[in-house]
Amino acid sequence: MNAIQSLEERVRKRFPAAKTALDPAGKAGGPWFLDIDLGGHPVTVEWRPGKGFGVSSKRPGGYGEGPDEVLPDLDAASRRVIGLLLARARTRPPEAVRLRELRSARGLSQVELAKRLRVNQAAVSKLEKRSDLRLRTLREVVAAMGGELVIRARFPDGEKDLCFDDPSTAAETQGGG
Amino acid sequence: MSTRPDRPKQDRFAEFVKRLAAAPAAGSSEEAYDQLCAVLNEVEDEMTSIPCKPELWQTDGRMYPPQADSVREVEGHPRVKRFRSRAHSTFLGENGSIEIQAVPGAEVVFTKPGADGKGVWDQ
Repeated sequence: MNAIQSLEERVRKRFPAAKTALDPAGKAGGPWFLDIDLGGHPVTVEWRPGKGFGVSSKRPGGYGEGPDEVLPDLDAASRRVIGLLLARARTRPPEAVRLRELRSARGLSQVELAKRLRVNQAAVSKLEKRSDLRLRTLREVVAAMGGELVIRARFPDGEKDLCFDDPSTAAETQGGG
Repeated sequence: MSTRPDRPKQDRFAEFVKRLAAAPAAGSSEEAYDQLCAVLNEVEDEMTSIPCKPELWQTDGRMYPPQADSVREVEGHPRVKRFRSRAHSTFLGENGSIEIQAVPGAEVVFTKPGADGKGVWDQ
């Protein structure tokens, strides 16, 4: 049994009601895929021997993109997949991807966003490659795109939105839950 | 340096299928594969500032053609090859036909006959 077959076994043991479909590689060393659906919540895992596990939620549109998250080994991948299924949560692509997609969805070029932020285009390009952003920076970028940054904290018994209007304070507002 | 906005992924995919449909029908699976790769890379080069780096594997926001090592046989259809990617199966017929299906669910998102006028499943 290889690593992705083991992952499937762990998922089925943890979630007997889950539907799983293993798509074996056609060539030695090629990628295997494991498609999981638990009560209408799909997760796809791609396993490349020697490279790890790529985990992705279903996202509309697109074609041929790589996985949102990459986990190095079976235990890490199992924890992540089981966590996603339990929480009915979605994978998170790298922040740089999300920021770039947000900018393009607003119809802005890097040059235009740079003008609004009063920085040069190279700074925007660098920002979109970073794996970690300060909250203040993210707030400024979203504001420059014409939006407002809202952070949502999700708990087992509900959710709360944390709204950042002022960089020196965090106004907490009730939301959902 | 890109002075144009990066187009949203949905727009880029729509342009990809539009150009692929308009391209001359391929005469073999190899030709179909090369054509699909060329059209997608052309669209992405024009419509996004993300450089082409398929070796990265983890998503960078760019769309990539099916990787050659993802090919599979199709049971009961020896003249068809299937390439699997994150959310699609891409079927190429020996006659140059192409079909792209969503995974899971098998919804057909693109289909095109080969140079003989026949679809993937009609060979």
